[in-house]
Parts: sequence; structure tokens; C-alpha cells
Amino acid sequence: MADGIPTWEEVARDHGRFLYTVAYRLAGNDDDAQDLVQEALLRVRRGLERYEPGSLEGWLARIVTNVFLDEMRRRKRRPTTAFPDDPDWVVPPAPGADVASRELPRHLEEALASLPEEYRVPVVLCDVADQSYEQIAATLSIPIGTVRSRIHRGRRLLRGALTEGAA
Amino acid sequence: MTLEQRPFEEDALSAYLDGELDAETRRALEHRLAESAEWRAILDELRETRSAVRALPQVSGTPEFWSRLLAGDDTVVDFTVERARRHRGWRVALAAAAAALVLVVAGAALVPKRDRVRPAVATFADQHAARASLGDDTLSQLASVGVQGLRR
Repeated sequence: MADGIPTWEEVARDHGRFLYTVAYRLAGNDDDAQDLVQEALLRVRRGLERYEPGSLEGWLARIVTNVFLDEMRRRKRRPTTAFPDDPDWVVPPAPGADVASRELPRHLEEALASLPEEYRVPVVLCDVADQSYEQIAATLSIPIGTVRSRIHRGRRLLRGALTEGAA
Repeated sequence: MTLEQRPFEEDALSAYLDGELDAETRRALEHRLAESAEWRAILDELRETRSAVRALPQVSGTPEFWSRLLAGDDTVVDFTVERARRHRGWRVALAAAAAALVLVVAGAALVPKRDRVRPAVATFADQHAARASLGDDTLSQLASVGVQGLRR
């Protein structure tokens, strides 16, 4: 690490788990999470020179979120696969997932993955990536008030889905 | 209206849990919560949901994925190959367009110009008009008009 700027390998080794977790919670499955992580790390490699020492994980969360949103826009233009927003979308099993992820409370994962994108992304950034409302607003280019209402609405929807699942 | 009486949107409860309210607003909301069992119930549900999401364990992906990424960079290389393939596609398209342009220019140069057409229509018409003017050929005037048109 020189001048507080990590190398690409250090980012991958020290923050790969964080990056993968955010990608997985955004995408809802391992295949897409791997694609997101690969593309995010490519962007990290290209952008490291411009990185200003600060919240590295905030920067990474922003990058992987932008990769995810780019991919969602691309798929909406040329839909070839189902989206988490689709009512029939089901989180596919993750055959390559490690033991910890297989033991996740599946109903919560499914509820999170099936949240509409506009609510899922702020909730993941807040509760998984631990970003402040201000950081989320900057990442998504929306007002803080919108972040606040979407996080709240997302949690209410999650609560409803979990309650329905339990009934 | 006192601070305690101010109205709140429900999303203030999430902001409260996330520590996103300023001190004054937080105090006012806590006053509201102390008075309203309904709001306390909503807050409890939100707190439970928020905690559940935050308690989801981190996911790391498979060791194969990371070893491929870190050691061999296979996948990253694949991205590069894919980009190179796309660039190669562009280069091929540009070369094809350039070749087509050369063909068009060369073709235009090779195609005989109007005054090189054999037989030379203008000359032929002039001769015909000259010959016709000697006789009663009524086509002579028309031939003359035609020549003028051609010369323009």
C-alpha cells in the first residue's frame, strides 16, 4: 500500500468478502454476484489511481451498486433473464455457495431478493453495506428524503413478506 | 405548535433507528412514541426487520472463484479477451467500410463519363442535324434541341 492507496490485490483480499456480500444481496444469487464482483474489481483496478483515501468500503459499495444498476438497465433493454422484481422470480439454489450461505434463513433472503429494486438497493446499502443516508443518496443520485422513504417502505414490505411467509 | 405536537411521517421511525435524525427531531419523536402504542408497535416491527437483515451473515463466494480471480486472473483475462474481440469486430467493420469506399471511388473513376460514351451522342446528333437540314427532314429541329440539351 502506497500513500494509503491499496493495491488491487489488497482490495480483493481484504475487502472481497464485503464486496461479494453486497453484490450477493443486490443480485440475490451467486452467478450474478460473481459477475458483479468481477466487473466491480475491474473498475476498482481502473479507478485506483483516482481513489482518495477515506472510506474504502463506501467506495466499493458505490462501485458495485453502479455495476448492478448498469446491469439491470442493460437487462431491461434486452431482457433475457428473469428479474427479482418479477412476481414469479425465485431465488435459485446456489450450488457453489459456501456452508454459511446455505444455512441462511432462506425466507428472509427470498423476501429481500424479491423486493422491488428501488427499495432493495437502499435497504442493502443501509443494512448490509452500512452506508449513511447521505452516502446512499450520493450513490443513487436521489434526495436524502427519498432514501429515507424508500428504506422505510422497503422494510415495511420485507416485514409484510416475512409475516406472510410465516403464516 | 409545540415540538411534541409536530406531525411525523412514518418513515421518521426508520430514520430514528438508523440514527439519521437530529437531536431535536429525535426528542420530539420519542415524545410521540411515549404517547402512541401504535407507533411503538410499528417501531418494534421495524427494529426486528432491520436487525434480521443486518444479522444475515456475510457471503464470500467459492474459494475457486477467488483463487481464479487472484491467482490466474482467468476471468478478468476473459473480460479482456471479450473486449479485444469486440474491438476486433469494430476493426473488421471499419476495414470493410474502407474497402467498400475504395471500390465505390474506383468504380466511379472507371465508369465512362457521359462525353466518352460511344457513339458520341452529341456529335452524332450534330451530324444528323446537319444532314437533315439539307433535306426536308422535320426531325432536324428536334435534333438541334436535343444537342442543346445535351451540351447544357
